[in-house]
Amino acid sequence: MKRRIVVAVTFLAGLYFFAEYLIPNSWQTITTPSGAEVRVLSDYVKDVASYLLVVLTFALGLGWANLLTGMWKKLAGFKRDWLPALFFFLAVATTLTIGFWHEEIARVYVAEDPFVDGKPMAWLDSVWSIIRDDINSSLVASVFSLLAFYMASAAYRAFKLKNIDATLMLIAAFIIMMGNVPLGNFVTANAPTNLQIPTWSMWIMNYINSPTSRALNFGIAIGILAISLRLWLSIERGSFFEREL
Amino acid sequence: MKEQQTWLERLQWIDRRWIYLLLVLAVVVPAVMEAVHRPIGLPVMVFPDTLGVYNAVEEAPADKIVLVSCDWGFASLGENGPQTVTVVEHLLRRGIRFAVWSVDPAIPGWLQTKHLERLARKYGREYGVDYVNFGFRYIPNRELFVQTVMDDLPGYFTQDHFNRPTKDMPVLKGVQDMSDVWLFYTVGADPTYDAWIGIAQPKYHMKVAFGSTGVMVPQTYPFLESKQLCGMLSGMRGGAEYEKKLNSPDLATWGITRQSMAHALIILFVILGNIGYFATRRRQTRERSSQ
Repeated sequence: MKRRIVVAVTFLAGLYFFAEYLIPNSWQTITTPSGAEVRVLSDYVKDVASYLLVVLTFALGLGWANLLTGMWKKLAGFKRDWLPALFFFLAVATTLTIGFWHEEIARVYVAEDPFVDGKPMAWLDSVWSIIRDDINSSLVASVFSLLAFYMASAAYRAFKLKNIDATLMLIAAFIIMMGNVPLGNFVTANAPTNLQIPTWSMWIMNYINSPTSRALNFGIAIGILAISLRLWLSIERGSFFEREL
Repeated sequence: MKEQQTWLERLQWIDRRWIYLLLVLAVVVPAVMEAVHRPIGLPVMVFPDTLGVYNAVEEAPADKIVLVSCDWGFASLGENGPQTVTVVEHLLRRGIRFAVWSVDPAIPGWLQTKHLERLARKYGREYGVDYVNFGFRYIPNRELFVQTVMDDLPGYFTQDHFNRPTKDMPVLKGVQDMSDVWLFYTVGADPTYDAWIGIAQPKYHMKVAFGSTGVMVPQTYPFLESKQLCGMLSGMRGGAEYEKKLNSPDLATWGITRQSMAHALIILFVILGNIGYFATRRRQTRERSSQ
């Protein structure tokens, strides 16, 4: 019974947007008793989309709940990795406290003119700015910058001229890499325009990459269409269904 | 056996820690040289995709607004940060009204305190009159968001980053839907333009531009060719080119020099690895033929 309800709700939710997109305005227009003309589907798409956005926002709370639960389990039992879990809770508590305090001050005192000099508790602005702009931004950017090291090491080990395909790919990669930085322009600055690395880079992007990407995008779009249809009709093997219906 | 390998063959077995160390030096040494001595200043060539964004801002009429959507977080700060700041500077310099928002909760405050207020003071612009910061917007589904926003911009953006009502702000005077928008500029590490091109642009025909990270550039090129995107800032290169057009060297201009060194180092290591690979293959071929 539960499955049937989920399948029915899923189908009706998708049917609304499907029908709204396909049914012409003239077919869905009715005249109300007051004489106004109303499109029964299209006039309400903005409201329905807003309600769906609210429901999808529940995922934010769900993510938070999972993270807090997982970290608490590590900390409460002093299991392996309890120390990072402790720092996690300390960081969350500090950031939430400063953040809420800052927002409350901003709401009460600063709403009239956020740019006035001599705001009350200006030190709170500085602390919040350090947490958000200096600590958070530097940490997040640094963690993702580590990818550059992994890519350099992986490129060194993997890019070998084993066959003609690999050779062509490597040559194209070198041209694109040098064409996207000023060093490529500097190296061939005195050469004729047709022999400059940036020119070759643009040629590869426009005449080789573009048609290939377009073909890939078409294929991906058709794949998305097929998967979306299966999800809408609940015939996809997924997390709720252990077998295809 | 590794002990029988020549030094040429060993070139393909360099310890990765040496690669990491040299990569760090390739980035840090130019930075130190620029700080101590003078900027290295490699010549930046402006590509047509960057010119497309620049021209779109240059041609923006005074009676229309520009929307800037920061669909990025600090993870792509190096590439998307300069792309956002330099275009915003161009808008402030020309006095074109614009509104900015972000899908990351930290970006609006960072942009406001670190850049918008500084640039607004530099060009004599006023918050609420020349620009507005709508703050953080949680967007779980982009298609739904576009459908909600495109027909009624003031109806969705009722408050700004400081939780003040936007209803009577001069910057939004006369703005009702996307027909009052000249350019929608989205900056991100995902194809954040797709919903706007697919849903809003066919109806309202506004220009759409994209500030992308380097990895997104290849799959975005078809949209440039079809003119659905009027222009694109491609990674840090795009930011540096835009700064060159504005004659305002900043984050991207200094960063692209370091990126040049890093690219050159990676290419060098790939060449060394291939020299070692071919040396190994030659030895194996000789051993097979002598047996």
